[in-house]
Amino acid sequence: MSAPAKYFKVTQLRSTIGLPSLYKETLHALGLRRRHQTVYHKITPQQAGQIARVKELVKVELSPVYKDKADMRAERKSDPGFVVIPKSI
Amino acid sequence: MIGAFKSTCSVLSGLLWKKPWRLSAPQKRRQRHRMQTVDENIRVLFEGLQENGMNSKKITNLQLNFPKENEMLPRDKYTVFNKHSRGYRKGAHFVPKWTKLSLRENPENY
Repeated sequence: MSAPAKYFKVTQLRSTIGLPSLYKETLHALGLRRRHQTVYHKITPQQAGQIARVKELVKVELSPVYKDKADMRAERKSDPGFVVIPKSI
Repeated sequence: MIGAFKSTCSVLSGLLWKKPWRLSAPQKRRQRHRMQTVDENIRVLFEGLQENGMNSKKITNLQLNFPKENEMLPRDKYTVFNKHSRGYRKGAHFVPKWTKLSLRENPENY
């Protein structure tokens, strides 16, 4: 990776069903509610510590850019093959 | 005894679940893969902080002192300490939620 990483990309892989509430609350604090959900967090010791607490349940990667929910959704969208041109032109 | 009245364990005592005393080869493989994911997570957390000129006591301790999958003995990967067992070890799969825990360190002198 050429650009320095500024964000942790955290993906929840394992469910919290049946685990102590600490794990569930930590994931919730990180913004994770279900498996295969991804969130980006700024690299800070505080975030790293929180992620380390649930290190068995998530997958962590480094990312130079931040992506919110809308960005990740747009990435998944397929190319429709046409462009809608507004009538006013 | 053969037939409708054969005396099998489940007939004599109702529901019977048996756990083998050791992990099977695929169970051990999946265990290793889970451990490698945890190792990778710790490494990424450590490197991410380092790249940005930060550090954390907890993460540094995990990176330096937490046993790595490739450095551990098979004995430590697949069994855990248990004071009641003969030989003081039992299979890791006897620990509740064992696939979501890191059971890597032994008590001192074991």
